[in-house]
Amino acid sequence: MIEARGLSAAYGDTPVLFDVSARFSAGRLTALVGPNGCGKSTFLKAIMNFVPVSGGAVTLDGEPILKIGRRKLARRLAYLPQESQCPDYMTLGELVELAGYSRYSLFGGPTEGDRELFQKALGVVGLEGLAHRQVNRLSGGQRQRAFIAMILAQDAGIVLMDEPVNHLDMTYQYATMSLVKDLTRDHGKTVITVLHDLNLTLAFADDVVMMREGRIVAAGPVRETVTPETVGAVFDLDADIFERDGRLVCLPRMDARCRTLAA
Amino acid sequence: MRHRGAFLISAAVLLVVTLFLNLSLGAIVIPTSTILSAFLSFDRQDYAQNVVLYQRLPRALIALYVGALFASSGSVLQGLTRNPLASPATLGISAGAAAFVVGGVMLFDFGLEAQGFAALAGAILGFLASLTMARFAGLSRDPRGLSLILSGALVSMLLIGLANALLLSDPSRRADLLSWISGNINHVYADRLFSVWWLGAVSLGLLFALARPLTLMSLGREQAASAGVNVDLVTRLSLAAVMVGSGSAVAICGPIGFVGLVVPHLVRPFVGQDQRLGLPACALTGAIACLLADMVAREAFQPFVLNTGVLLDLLGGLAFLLIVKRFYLAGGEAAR
Amino acid sequence: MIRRARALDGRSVLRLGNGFQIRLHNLAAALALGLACLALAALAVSIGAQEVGLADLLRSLTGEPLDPASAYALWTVRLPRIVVGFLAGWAVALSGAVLQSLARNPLADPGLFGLNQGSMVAIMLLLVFLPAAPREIVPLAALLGGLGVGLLLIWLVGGARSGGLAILLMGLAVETVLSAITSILILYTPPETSYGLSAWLAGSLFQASWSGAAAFAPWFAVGVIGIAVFGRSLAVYDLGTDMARAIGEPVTRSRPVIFVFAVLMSSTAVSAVGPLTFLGVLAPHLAAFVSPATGRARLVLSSLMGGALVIAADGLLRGLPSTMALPIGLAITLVGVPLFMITLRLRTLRRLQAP
Repeated sequence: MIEARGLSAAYGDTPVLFDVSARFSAGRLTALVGPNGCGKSTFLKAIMNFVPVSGGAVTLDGEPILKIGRRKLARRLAYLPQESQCPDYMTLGELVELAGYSRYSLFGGPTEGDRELFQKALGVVGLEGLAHRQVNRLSGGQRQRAFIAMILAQDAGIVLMDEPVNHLDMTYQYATMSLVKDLTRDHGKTVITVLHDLNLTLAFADDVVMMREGRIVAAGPVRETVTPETVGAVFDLDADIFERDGRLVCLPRMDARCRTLAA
Repeated sequence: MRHRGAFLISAAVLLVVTLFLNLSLGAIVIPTSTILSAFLSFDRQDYAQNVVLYQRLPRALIALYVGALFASSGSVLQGLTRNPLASPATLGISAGAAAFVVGGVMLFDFGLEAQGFAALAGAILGFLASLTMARFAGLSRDPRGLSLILSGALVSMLLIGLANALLLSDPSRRADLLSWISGNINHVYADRLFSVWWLGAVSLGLLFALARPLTLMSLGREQAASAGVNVDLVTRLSLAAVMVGSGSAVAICGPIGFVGLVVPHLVRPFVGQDQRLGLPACALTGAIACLLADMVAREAFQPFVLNTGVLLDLLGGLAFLLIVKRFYLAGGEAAR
Repeated sequence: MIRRARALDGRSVLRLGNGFQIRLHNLAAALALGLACLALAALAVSIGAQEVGLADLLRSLTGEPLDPASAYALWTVRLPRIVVGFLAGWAVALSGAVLQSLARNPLADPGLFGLNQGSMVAIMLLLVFLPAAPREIVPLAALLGGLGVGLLLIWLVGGARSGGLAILLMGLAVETVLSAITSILILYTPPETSYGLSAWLAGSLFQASWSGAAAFAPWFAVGVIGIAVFGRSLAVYDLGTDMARAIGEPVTRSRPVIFVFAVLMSSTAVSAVGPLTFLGVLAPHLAAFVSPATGRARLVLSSLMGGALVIAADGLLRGLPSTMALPIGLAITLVGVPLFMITLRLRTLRRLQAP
């Protein structure tokens, strides 16, 4: 279980996170939502200790993350940045093999067990046949699946993702999110992901953390937490939440408030 | 508007002051009265008057000419490419002229006249090569024209490399050209000034005449076109003027192009974007900058005399650094 | 226990019992490059005014005496030149390859980033202000100068998430300033050193000697160790800082060490032969063209390519039928700029092709 307590962070002189506390339950998909610049990506980075934390702490099963070395942390916590990078000559196979980096000794490499895991990871995302392909030559949807395969290959129990469906068209947004959902349902992972789209959140997330201006406005299970009131408080928008065939949909109203915001 | 005019007037006054300083300071300090009498009632027997008229005045005139042309060329280039790093030095103009002059002298024994034409041809070719390279490299995500500047830098490196290779091939003639290639304002080049000055005058005149459409174009080609500017014609004419003008300046005293990068940035905060004020202001400030740099280069490193070009490279490089920091890196920070 | 196997992406690898694997293609390319270096060296031995060649060298190795002129040309001029050239090219290319991963910028080069100029300014400062200082501390000055420029560059670029081109422009700006300082400093050097300095400033092998090669040897060893220790981390750096940290690389700790290593390699080369601008960007790209690789294999291939390029370029220059004494640094710039442009072009094309 991963928990943030009173977390504060700043970029230089600009504070971005104020005293944020949250608990992420094991085996669930938690979405971080909020308007641009609300600090949701920074929250993820603060958990990973990528940005200097000015107050508070993050604990992993009660152990402060700062005390865990990068190598050990990598075996328990995986992270997928918003803009994944890959050198031109790297193949998908090489990328996935790098995922086991924290388990290799200086002059060692993947063990037999590692290689089986890698094959399985490629199979889960449906890219077994493309392991020889250069990552930068994959299509946008394939690329995102490639990095999800890498996350699986890293074999960490907790996965943090920063807008995994950014830049994808709607088909691949839903396909990718289904895959992410499978990570929790079939592989027992805890997933914390930043999401831009409230409807994707409603469709896939178990829990939600709603943020605004560096603070948490509401947090909890999606059904109870995403309400017209919280959406209004976070996005300055009047919206209706409908339910259809057991699924929730959020639809903003085209009312006066919406128009004054645009003006 | 009034304080902008005031900038122009004070620049003109300052120019006269620096000019007098430049004429009076040196190995011997010459009082203003002697300088004035050298102009008004020249006495052939007076050593100091001879120094003023035959050594320091040509030198000062060269600095003035070169500074004015490079600075206004830089201003026009920055407006046209809408790139804060554009200047004759960064777009291959200086290096092209230098390489051609060296090539002409080393391979074909060019005389003074021919060197001037070689400089012009080289300036044009260097610039076109940079443009072609930039298009060739054509980086897809390059919203701020970085590839143009990078191409200019690389083309310059290549051309200067060629020039150096040629220079090394003939040690005897190397010495003659070595100080020229690092940019040297020197009275021995006065003959060149007298043979090419009209080129600079014509191109400066042309640029001043185009100041209004150039101002409009610095806002964007589409906007300028919709305001009735013949964009292609103005671009071609002004580029031609820039290449001829700065090419002739390089021909005189070698590549001193960083004035063209720095001065427009110095002037812009005072006079704004309007080229009708900006160009004369740049020309004046460029002339002042070169006169000052010439003085510092002569006096500050005693007992050695530094080439003005080296000093201006130092200052220009620092400015280049600040511009990159301010326009390209700070912008990246803000974008986050 | 070594056996042939297939990596995850289906390519043939040699695999050791502990999982260590080398791609066969990379291994073959490294062997080929090593042989190419030897072949080029064999060719280069026979280039020059004195009629003496490989056959004479082999004969003298078996104990047969050579006439003094041939022996001098062979043992005192050509062989040290080849050895020092290879070592310098090796180090510069290694430095370039490391910097490219570190800055995540495929155009990184110790020369274009101004590190070489920094080393040169430091050396000049030493020669001007402490002319009595022992020659042994020259490499140290070079290292400090390079590090200074590197830190300056890091400070200037800061945390800004700027594109690689902006960093490159910044490097060029720093380089312009420093070369102006070099020009000023050269005024103050004693005339007798000034001429030698000018040749060295352009990058040259004229002064190569066995003692130069011997001085280089420990740094060569450091380079080999560096490849072994850092090579694997660099593959991870290529994925971006956040990803590298996430999969277990302690970036904040390892980056400064690797950076010092890269500067050490380039400054060693600078103090030996002067700046070889563009080699650092050229060699890794050419090596990748011969055999795409990551991690240690990439470093080994790049550095071998660098050594081969310098031996070849120097041989060509000496074979030129003219009185032109073109310094090798200049020659590499002349060849490097067009190739660099083509590299940029290829990068663009690749990006356009990528969906």
